[in-house]
Amino acid sequence: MKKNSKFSIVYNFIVYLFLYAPILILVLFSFNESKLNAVWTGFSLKWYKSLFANESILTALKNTLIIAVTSTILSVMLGTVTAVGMYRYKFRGKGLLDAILFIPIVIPEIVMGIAMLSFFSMVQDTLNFEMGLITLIIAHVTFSVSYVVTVVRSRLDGFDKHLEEAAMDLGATPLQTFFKVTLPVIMPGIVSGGLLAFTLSLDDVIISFFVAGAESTTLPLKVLSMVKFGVTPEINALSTIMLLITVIMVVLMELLNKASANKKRVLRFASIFLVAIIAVSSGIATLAHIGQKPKEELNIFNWSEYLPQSVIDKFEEEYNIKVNYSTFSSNEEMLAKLQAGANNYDLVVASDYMVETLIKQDILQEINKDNIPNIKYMDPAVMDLSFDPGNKFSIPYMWGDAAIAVDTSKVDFEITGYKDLWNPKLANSIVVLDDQRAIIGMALKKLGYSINETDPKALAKAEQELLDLQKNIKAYDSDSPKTLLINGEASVGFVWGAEVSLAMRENKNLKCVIPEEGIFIQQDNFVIPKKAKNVKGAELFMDFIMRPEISVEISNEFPYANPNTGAWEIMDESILNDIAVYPPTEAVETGEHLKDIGNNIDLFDKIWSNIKK
Amino acid sequence: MVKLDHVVKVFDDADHDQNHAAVNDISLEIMEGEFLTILGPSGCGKTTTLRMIAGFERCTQGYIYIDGEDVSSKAPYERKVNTVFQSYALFPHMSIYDNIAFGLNLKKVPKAEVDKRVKEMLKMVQLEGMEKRMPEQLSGGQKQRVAIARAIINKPKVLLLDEPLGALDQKLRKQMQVELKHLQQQLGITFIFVTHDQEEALTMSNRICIMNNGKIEQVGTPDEIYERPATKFVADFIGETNIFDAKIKGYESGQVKVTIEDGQDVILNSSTPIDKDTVCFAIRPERLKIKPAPAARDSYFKAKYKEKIYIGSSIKTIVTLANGKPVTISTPAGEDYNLSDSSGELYITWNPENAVVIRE
Amino acid sequence: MNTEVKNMEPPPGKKGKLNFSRRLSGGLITLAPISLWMLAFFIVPIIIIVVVSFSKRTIVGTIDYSFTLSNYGRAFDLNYLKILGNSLWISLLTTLLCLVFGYPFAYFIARASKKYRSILLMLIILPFWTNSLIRTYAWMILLRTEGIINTYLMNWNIIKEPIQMLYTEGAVLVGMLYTMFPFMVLPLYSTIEKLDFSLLEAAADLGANPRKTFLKVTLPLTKSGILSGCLLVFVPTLGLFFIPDLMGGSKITLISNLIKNQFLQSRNWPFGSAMSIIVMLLMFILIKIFTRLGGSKDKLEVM
Repeated sequence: MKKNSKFSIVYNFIVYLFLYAPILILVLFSFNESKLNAVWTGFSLKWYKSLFANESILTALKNTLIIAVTSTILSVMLGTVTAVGMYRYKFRGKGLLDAILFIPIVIPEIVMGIAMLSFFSMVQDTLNFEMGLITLIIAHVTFSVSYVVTVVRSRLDGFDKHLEEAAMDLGATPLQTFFKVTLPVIMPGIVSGGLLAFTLSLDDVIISFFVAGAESTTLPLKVLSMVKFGVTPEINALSTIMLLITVIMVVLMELLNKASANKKRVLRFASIFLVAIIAVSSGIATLAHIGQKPKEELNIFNWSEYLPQSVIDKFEEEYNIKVNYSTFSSNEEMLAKLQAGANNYDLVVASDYMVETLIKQDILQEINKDNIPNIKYMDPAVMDLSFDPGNKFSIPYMWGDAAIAVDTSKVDFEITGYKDLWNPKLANSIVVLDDQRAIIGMALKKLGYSINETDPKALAKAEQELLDLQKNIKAYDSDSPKTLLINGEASVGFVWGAEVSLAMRENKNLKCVIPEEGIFIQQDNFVIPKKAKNVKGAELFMDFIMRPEISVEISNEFPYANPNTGAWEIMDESILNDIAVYPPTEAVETGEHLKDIGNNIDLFDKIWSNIKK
Repeated sequence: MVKLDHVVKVFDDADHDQNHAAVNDISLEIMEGEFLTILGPSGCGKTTTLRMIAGFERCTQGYIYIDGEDVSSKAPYERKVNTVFQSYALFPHMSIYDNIAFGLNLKKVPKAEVDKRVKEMLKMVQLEGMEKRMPEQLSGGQKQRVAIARAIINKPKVLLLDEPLGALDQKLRKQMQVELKHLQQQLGITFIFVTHDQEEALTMSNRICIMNNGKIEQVGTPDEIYERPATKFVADFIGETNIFDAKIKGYESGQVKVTIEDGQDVILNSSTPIDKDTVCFAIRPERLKIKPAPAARDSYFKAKYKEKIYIGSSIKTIVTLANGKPVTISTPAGEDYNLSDSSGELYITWNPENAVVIRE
Repeated sequence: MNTEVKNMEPPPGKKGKLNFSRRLSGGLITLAPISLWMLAFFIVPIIIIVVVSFSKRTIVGTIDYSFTLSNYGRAFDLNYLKILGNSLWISLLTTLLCLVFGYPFAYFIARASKKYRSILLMLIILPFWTNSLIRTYAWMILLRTEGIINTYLMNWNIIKEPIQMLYTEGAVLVGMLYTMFPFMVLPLYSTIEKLDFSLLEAAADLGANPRKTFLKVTLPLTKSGILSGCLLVFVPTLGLFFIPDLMGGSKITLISNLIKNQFLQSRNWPFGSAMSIIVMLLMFILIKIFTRLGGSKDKLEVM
């Protein structure tokens, strides 16, 4: 073999560098003292420690492993039998089966994801099951079985047919032949197929995104939500561990392939042993953290960054109820998930106009306020609003507005309203909410219209305005826009007031501006879906949240406007005076709430897609 | 021991022509303790026949009996025959020991006895000490022996061998031929051997069955096959021969006068009457002699010298008839005729007993 | 030569029938499970989204099962076509970049001495087996405005202001390229490895310079690997919504984001389904082209 030239060696080295540098840096920074993944400040293992204490991650890990192991076993069994059948028998329709098995390999995963979502949501009512581990396992098997079949078949292609004949010749029945000869010889193929299926399951984001349920977040989905917030290097630690496991698996696989017969047996034991250890230890770890087996579970669906983990922990401990906490980034996303049939949530948080929609669609059940004594602390101003007269279906949680954050060290002119966002000096510096009603509404308000305007002519003007604004927008982010304000990616932001407040805590150069054209206010409320299983737990939770000291704890971490009168008395003065959190009374009075606009949402959709392309 | 009764095989899948029978009505009886070779060119149906005896293919028509029993509908694992495959088919994931013991283990023979018999086998095929090796570590010849050991340890009534020596080099082949022959004599098992190599067949067999195009051309001892081929195909296939198509001219006291291709008249011996007006006969090259003039008892014709080919152990001289038809004469080395182009008219002579009349 | 088969009655024992029914039951046992599974969990869901794609959306966002072609009509709206076009463009670009960078890479690995080859291969396979989200995240921390690259560049006074790297179309491209690179390299490697290098020597012997040899011999012979790699990269990129989300700051909407939004934010399942069907059809066309050009399904074994 001709030796490779120097050029080629250098080229390959650079490519490997490209491939590995990011991963290596990720691993390196998992040991970094600093919270920001930017500068090395010192060695520390604290992120690993907090990782192992993070229950939601461990639960996600447990789910992921259960799903991966189960779906791998199923796909391997199903796939191997199929591969052998296709190898042995010729029949009409084989080509069709071939083609059908080929499609999952080449189809974009998103198509499979939505197909399965549609399927499960349709079948759900008739067959009475929930989206959860089972649907995930089914989905995973469906997309990995094709891979297993392909791998095993290619192994069978090189299989010497005479081996089977020899076995039968020597007295083995077809069944004996399969187990004593065929299976052992194709075993490397089966193992490869199994490893492939396992990895695909572990890694799957797209399909799991659509078919996961309330109680069954997988690790990749958890990482996805963590990545969006992107603040702590706990993710780095998690990634490093996952990488380590992958490396060990791949190395073992390679050694298995090359080892001589006797070593093979030892290695096989070693790898099975290793897998067993991982499974058992993660099982133990999860169990240890969960402590006593809780008697009941409570499924909560809330905005991201709206309820602190510490509050959830306290509730769990006091009532011995396990809380499965899922998040969404917009009302529409929440509604979509509920409509899709993820209806095993016990408690959901919905904004004003969305409550209206939910009531109209008969998704909610009435709430028995007698079971929530702490409701006495609720500020009357937020009770009995037009979207739910008498608070039959909803209990207020928090409210807030969207305001403008300005980094005074980077912006040298005065900003007083939405109109200033269009200033050319702000090119590529603004972070805004990824929310079509909020953004299009903002443009409407700039033009002097109502935030709920549906006249196509007005909307067309708003669209034009927003197209012009694009060059100033750096990013759309509803999950954690404060991150960009804190780390300096953006110098101006149109984000939730609480986000502004939080950002201001970390970046002293930031200040809050209440737009002069008028703010839009959102009142968020607890609601209970009709199909909730644990209504009592939901009531307990709501009551718990409204305890003044708990309410204060929430506000401290997520400073949205808190309508709990009891909390006002113990709250920190500085927060009560923070206009980012509590906009001035005039602003509140002239502020607007979003309303349900029915089919006109299509117009908004169109504009939104047009803007974002 | 093995009887095939009007066996026909037509393959009924997409890969084969369904109007053409791979094996077209053959009947054959193989005696106990016999070494029979099925010989023929590629595609003649010999392997298919063997596979039908083993049970890997079902007969489309006809019956197969092994030791008096009708096995036509029995699966391979229900028949008391074992096969040695051309590709050896050793189980790659098992050691030599386990390969050989496979059949016994299936029958749940006690371990001690398995051990004893495997060791015996290894000794018999001269592979002592190799029990723990894996097939991939063995040479072709060694694998061959393992395949044989694996088959005969089961004490089958019949051993089927499907071109087992095909993948070996010349020298090893010859060696194995001798060993196999000895083994068969030692064990006394009926061997049915398939090959396309006629020399192999002639060397090893008690009887040879020659097949062509799905049919049996001739069955007989090597001597019979060689010296008295029944058909043109056999004559042509086995060894080298000179075949003449001639017209009957007349009969004379047990002899026939025929006219060969170039118009010459030739005397033939024929014990059986010929009922057509054409006849086909063959003479082996080593039975022909070149003489300046024919002797009294010789049959002969005249020819011209063309060329000489040196084989090593023999020399072939090629002469031509007036119409250009070549005739080959073979002589042992050291007895070269030393002819040349200028040698003029030659007499090609033979003892009339050595010409064979053949069916077409 | 007698080739006619004598017409004898099949002998008792039902030979032919036994054979057939044995084959049939074996085939059934092995292939029924997968057929049922795929039917229930794959075919039926796809049929459902086809049906939904022809349905209407109610005011509240649920599905009204009356027939309409409006979803497909809407898909041909200029805006959406632009998104589709942009997505195809980015996928194409990703594929080409993977090919251009991946081919020499695969080639050099295939030419390396056996000793190193398995290690080199393992180094490619490793990222392939790693979680793609993690790998994307790794790039995010590198490229952020106050991420690692910018911070160190500024600290070393190479630049005064941080370079905008994240939240651009370029970042999305880098993310896609990084995620899909192994999918291109592995099929390429497997084809190049099977190449008979004596052919290249023969070409040189007959007077071809390295460039000609590459174009006329190497490239055509590795065609199937190229096609497999391209297919394995192009199609999945159409569905990777989280990369434009994370690397592009949600500013860039590709077809995958559009479809996802229809199922979440916009709650317009019929429209989302229609778009998915269109993407599926595109994919089928691509595969047809792929097989026409000479790739074959068997060559897709990357493992």
